[in-house]
Amino acid sequence: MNNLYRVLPPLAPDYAGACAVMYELGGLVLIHDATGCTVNYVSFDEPRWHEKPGMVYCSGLTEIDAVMGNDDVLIDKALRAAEELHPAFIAYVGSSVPLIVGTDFAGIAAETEARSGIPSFGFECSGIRSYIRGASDALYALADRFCGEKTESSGTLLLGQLPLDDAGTDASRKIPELFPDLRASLSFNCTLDDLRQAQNAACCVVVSAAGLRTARMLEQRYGIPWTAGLPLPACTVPHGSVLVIGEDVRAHSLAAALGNAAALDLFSDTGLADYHTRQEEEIAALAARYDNVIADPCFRPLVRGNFIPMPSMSVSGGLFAETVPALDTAAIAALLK
Amino acid sequence: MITDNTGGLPRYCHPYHGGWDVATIALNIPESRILFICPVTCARNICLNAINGGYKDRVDVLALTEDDIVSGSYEEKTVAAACEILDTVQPRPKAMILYVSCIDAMLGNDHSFQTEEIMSCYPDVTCFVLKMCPITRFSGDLPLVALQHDMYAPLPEEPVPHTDTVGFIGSNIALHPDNELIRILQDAGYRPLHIQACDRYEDYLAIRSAKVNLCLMPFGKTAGELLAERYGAKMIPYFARPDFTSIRTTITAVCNALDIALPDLDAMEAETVRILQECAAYIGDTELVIDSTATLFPDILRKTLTACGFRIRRIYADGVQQKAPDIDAGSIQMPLVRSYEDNENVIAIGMAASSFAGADKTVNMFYDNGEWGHYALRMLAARIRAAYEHPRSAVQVRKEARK
Repeated sequence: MNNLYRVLPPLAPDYAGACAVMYELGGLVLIHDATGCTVNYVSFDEPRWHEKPGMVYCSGLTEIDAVMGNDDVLIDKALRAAEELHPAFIAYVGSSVPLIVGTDFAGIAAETEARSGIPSFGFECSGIRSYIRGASDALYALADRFCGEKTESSGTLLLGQLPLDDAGTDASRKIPELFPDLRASLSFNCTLDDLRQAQNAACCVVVSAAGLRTARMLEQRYGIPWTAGLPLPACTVPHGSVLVIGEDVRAHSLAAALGNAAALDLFSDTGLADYHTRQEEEIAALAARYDNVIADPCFRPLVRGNFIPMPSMSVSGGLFAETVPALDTAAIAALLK
Repeated sequence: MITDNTGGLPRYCHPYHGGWDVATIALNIPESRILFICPVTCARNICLNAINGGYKDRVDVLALTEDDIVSGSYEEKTVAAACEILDTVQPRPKAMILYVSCIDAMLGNDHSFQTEEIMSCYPDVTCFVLKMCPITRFSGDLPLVALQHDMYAPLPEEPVPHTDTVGFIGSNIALHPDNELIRILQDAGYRPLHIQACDRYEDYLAIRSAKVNLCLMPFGKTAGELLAERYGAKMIPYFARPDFTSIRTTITAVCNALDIALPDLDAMEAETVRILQECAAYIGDTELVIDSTATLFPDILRKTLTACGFRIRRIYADGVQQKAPDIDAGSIQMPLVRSYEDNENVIAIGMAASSFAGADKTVNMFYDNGEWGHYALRMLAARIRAAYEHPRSAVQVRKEARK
């Protein structure tokens, strides 16, 4: 039955992606929910929280506030917190109840900015769409707002790097190392100044589908060329067919490097990957066509062939440690049949 | 107008809950299975905890789309999903729990037709609804209180003869077999019944036969009242207060209710005091910080430990400072400005205290780890001693802590 998760856990949602993009940028982020959505995010979708908790808070939405459309409470809380925290910006992030009651986040952000003078954003997340969608919207909005005039052209800018795509932050730290002329990786180990200077990059590399929309905007507005994918070394060892399951750009990159491989995207459906689905029965049927399957350990029960576990926070939330480096195609190839 | 208890500030949510979530509590009903019906994200931490705890094969999720919500089609999908599960799972669960989330409270759904339809198809299955709706926390009973009540409400209403059974309700964890209360009951021929420790659905049904129900934590209060009203079982609210007077009062109340001879309470207390004092001497000047996730009664624990020679630096608990302005207390829900330094020479009891203080020694404990009485205090002493002997950075402890 479609949308019945009997094996897999629910995957990381849109508000997790939006919060992940803003985590290191010095903004005050309020998830507009009762508590559960924020707990989801800080518990399983944000590995940086355990290293240094960020300025992501829960609005503490109540039933009566939701029913009465009592948005002033939300704005007052944000402004009171801003008096103490002095954030670079304020962002409201939606969840499932605001979806039901039709909360006007754009209006709330506009009123917040009018009252405080602090740049403010509202993201209509729902907890229904994928983290890629939330991250894409947030990155685009921040870049659209903060990027200024182009004064130089140097270095490579990574767009869409999210710890959610990795097994943990140790794995995330290896991604920028692939780019010798790295200027910055937005959304990971970065500052708001990196974002303010994004227009000065010589080129952009989209490392998850979350960066696609912003890459197109930077190209259109500043003429910055971009590519999508990780530059992984090609595998030269002969092997059977492979299905790589995961995020669109990452799965496509690994499949291309391995050869004789296809990618199955779970999140964004940008068209890079060969397949896009998150239905368990369809995934099991596709997996049965391949000799090898590379995916988060949670997928193991859906696979009958050779299974190579590659944990991803977006699926298993940091429960599993990496057993083979995600960027080491030679090590991965050694496990293929 | 502020309609919650946040004092007009956003709320800090800490991630570390020792594996306690609404699913683990509901799955204490033996041979039960859960179907979450909610936007996909609502059940994410539940399922990840289930994978981590090895019980994902008892938790399914029907992920709602916007179309499902707008059209109301999820009502039919719920029945179809439940039937698909019940048709394919062997052995078939005895209880099918439909778990709904916040949006259900907003939509005001009536699930009776779904549960009735499912039970008409599977007469051997009890189907009922539980709610994971933190948004209603100021609209009635607290969600965890309502949950405990709703877990026992589906029991058959017909009373059964009382047996020498004592039910334990309100907690997520069965008391340890070495707990003094368990020993007292067993020595007197009573069966301590924690459904958490049972494998058969019949044991859940057997709670109806309890002579007395002991309410371990405040969450079980309305459940205990329901069982008392329906089956005539006396309810003793022996909340897990970590002080000697409460422990003595509770043991006395239980013994009196069941006509059991009182054990030597003075000797039990003296032994616990001796163990705590030894521990306090062992750690010397090292101070403690305590938070309200580690124990429901942090200020009571502070007083007990202080009396035994421990030095308490700070408590993280909301509302304590209003009641006791002389002690150093910080908010756990609204700590806007946090340091999160590391390697502070302090023993933290609880994960929030560990984070806020940057403790280099942590007792990772949530809601007293389900323990009570002298046993709990003695175990705490052992944990404090272990934390003192094996310092670990707060960051590392956070990374490894159960959510």
